[in-house]
Amino acid sequence: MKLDRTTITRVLAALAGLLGGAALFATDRQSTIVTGISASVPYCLVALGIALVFKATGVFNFAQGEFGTVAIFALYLARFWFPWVGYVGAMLFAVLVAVGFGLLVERAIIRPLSEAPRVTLLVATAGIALLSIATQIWLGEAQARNVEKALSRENRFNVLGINVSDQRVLGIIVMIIVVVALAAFFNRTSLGLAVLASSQEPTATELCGISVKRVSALVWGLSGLLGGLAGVLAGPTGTFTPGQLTSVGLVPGFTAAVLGGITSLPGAFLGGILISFIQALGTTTGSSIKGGPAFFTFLLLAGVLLVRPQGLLGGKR
Amino acid sequence: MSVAAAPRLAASAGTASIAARLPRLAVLGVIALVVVGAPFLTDPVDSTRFSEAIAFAVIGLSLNVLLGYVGSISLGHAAFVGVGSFASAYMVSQQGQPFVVGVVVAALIGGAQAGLLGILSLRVTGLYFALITLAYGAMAQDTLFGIDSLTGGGAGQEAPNPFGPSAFRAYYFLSLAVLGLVLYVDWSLMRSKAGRALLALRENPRVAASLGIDVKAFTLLGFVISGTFAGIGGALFAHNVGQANSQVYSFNLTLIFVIMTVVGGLRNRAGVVVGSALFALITYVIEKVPGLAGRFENADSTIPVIALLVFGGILVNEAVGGRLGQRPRLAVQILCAIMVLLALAIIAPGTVPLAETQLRELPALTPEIGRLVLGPVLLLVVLTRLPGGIGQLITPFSRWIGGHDFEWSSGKVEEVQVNDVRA
Repeated sequence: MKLDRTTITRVLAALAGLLGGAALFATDRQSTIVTGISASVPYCLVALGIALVFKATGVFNFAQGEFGTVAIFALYLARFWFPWVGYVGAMLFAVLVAVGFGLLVERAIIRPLSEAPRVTLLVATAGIALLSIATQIWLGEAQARNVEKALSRENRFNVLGINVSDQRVLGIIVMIIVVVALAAFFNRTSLGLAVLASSQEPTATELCGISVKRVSALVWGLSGLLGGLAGVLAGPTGTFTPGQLTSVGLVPGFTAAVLGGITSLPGAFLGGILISFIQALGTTTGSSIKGGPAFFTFLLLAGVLLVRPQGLLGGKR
Repeated sequence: MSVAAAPRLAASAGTASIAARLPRLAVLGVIALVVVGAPFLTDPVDSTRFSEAIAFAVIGLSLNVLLGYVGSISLGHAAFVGVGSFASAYMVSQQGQPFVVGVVVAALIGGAQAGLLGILSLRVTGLYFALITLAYGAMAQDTLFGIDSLTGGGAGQEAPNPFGPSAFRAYYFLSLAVLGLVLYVDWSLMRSKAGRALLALRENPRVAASLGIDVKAFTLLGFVISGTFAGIGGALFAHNVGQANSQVYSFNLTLIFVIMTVVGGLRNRAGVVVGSALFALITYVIEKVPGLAGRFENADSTIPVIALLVFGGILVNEAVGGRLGQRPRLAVQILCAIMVLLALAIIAPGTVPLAETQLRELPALTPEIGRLVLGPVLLLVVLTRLPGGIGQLITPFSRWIGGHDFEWSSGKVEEVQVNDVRA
C-alpha cells in the first residue's frame, strides 16, 4: 500500500469519524478515547499477524491468537523456572517459543495441506487453536494468572485524567516499530518481494530459484513472532487464562484485518486501533447493552463486509 | 461423491437368498440391540450421556447440511444450538408449554436466525462468511444469551425433562425418536429435487444456475434446514442437561461441533452420526474405563493410554497413507521414543530419571479436557490422511449390510471438501 493522498484522507476521515463517534456515544469520553489507543496492542498485533499470513499465503489463520497465548505461558514459566535469565531473557524465550510454534504449525499442518482448499486450511488452523487451548487447560488448569510486567510504573503519563502505564507505552512503541519494519520488509527488500511473488505465482517463483517452502516457513515464523510480541506485551497488563489471546483478540483481530483490507499491513494496524476504540466504547456502554464489545464488533464486521468488502484502505478487488 | 463413484451393485442385491442375507441381518440386529439396549445395561443416570450423544448427532447432521451440502462454513454453530436451547427452555419453564411446543419453537427460531445469516452469506462468501459466523457466535454468547429475562442470566434457564426429573431412559428413547425423524428429513431432502439442486450448487453454482436452479433460494433453504436441525439439537441438549447456560455455548464448543462433523465424514450421514456420538461419548469412555482419567500416581493411569493412542494413531496414519512396512520418518520415531520413555516412567518407576517426578506433578486429565485434546488431533489426522473421516471406514460395512459386496475402498474420498466454491 502506498501512502498517497487518497489513503491519507481516508485514514484521517476514519479517525475523525471514530473520535466523533466516541465523543457522541460514549458516556465516559476521556476514558474511551485514551483506552482506545493505549489498549490497542493485542488487537493490532493479532491483526497484523492475520494480515501477514493472508497476504503471503492466502490462509485465514485462526491460530494467530494462540501464538500469543503460548508466549504468555512461556513468559510465565520462564519467570518461574529460570528467573536468573532476567526479564529480557524471559521475554526473548517467550517470543522464541512462539516462533517455534509458528514454524511447527507450518511444517506439520500447513505444508502437507498446501494443495487443499482454503476453507479446509481454515478448519485446520481452528483445530490447532483448540488443541493449544485444550493443552493449556490440561496443564495449566482454567484459572486466571498474573505475570509480572516488564515495566511496572502505572502512572507514567496522565492523558485527559486517565493514567497510562509504562507497559502500554512500551507496547505501542514496539508495535509502531514492527509496522514500519514490516512495511520496509515488503517494500524495500528482495526477500519481501519473494514472499509476495510466492503467494501470487508459486510455480513461477519456484522457477526463479526461490524456495516456496522456505518462504512459507519464513512467513509462519514471522507470524509466530508477531503473536509472541502480542503475548509478551499485552499478556502482563492483566490476568490471563488458557486461550487468552484467542478469546480476547481473535474476533477483533480478524475484524481489524478485514477493516484494513485484509492484505494491507498498515491497514491492519489502523484497523486494530479502530477496533480497540470500538471495544472501549462497548465497555463504557456496558450498562445498557450486555456484551457490548462483541455486539459492536459483530455489527462493524457485518457492516464492513456488506458495504465495503475491500476494507477501508483496500483498493478495488 | 463416494456413493456415486462406487460401482452400482444394487441390481444384484435383490436376488440374494435369505441365507446369504442372514449374516447381514444379524449384524444389523446386533447394532440395533446395542442402541436400544445400552440404557438397560448401564446405570440409569448414564442414559443422560447417551442422550447427549443423540443430541450431538442431531447437531452434527445440522452442521453437515451447512458444511457438506451448502458448502458454507459456520464457526458460530454453538450459537445456532444455543438459540434452540434457550428458546425451548424459555417456552417450557417460563411459559409453561409442553415439551413438544418447546422443540417446535426451538426449531422455528433456529431456522429463522440461520435464514437471516444465510441472507448475509449470499453477499459474503467463503472465508469471510466464516468470520461473520465467528463474530456472530461471540456476539450471541455475550449479548443474546445475556438477556436476563429470556435466558435467566448467569444461573441459566431451567429446561426440565418432560418425563420427570429422573426419567433418563425415557428421555433417551425420545431423543432417539427425534434423531430418527431428523435423519428421515435429511434423507428425503437429499433424495428430492431440492437435494440434487443443493449438490449441483456446491459442485458448480454457475452451471447449476444455467440449468435453472435458483442459487439464492436453495442456499437459503440449506441454511434454514441447518438452523432448524440445530435448534432441535439444542432443545434436546438443554432438556437433557436440565438447563441452558450461556457459559456452555462457547467458541470451544463450536470447534468441537465442526471437528466432530468433519471427523465423521462430510456428506456421509452414518459417518456424521457415529462421529458426533463418538465425540459426545469420549468423555463417558474416559470416565468409565479405569486408568484413563486421573493423576499419574500409579501404573494404571493416563500416559500409557496416551502412548497407546498415539501409537494407534500413527499406525492408522501410516496404514491409511499406504506406507505401512516402510521405515517411519524421523519425527515419528522420535515421538515414539518419547512416548515409550514416558510410558516406562509410569509403569516401572525408577527406570527413567527425571521424568517420573515431573509426570506426577502433572494435573489430572479430566474427561472434558480429554475430549478437547483428542478432538483436534483426530481432526488433523482426518484432514491430512483420512479425508472421508469415520464415514470412509463405515461405508464399506453399511454397503455390505445393504446387500452389496464388501469392498474396502467403496467409501474412499479424495479430499475433505469443505470448500465453498464461491470462496
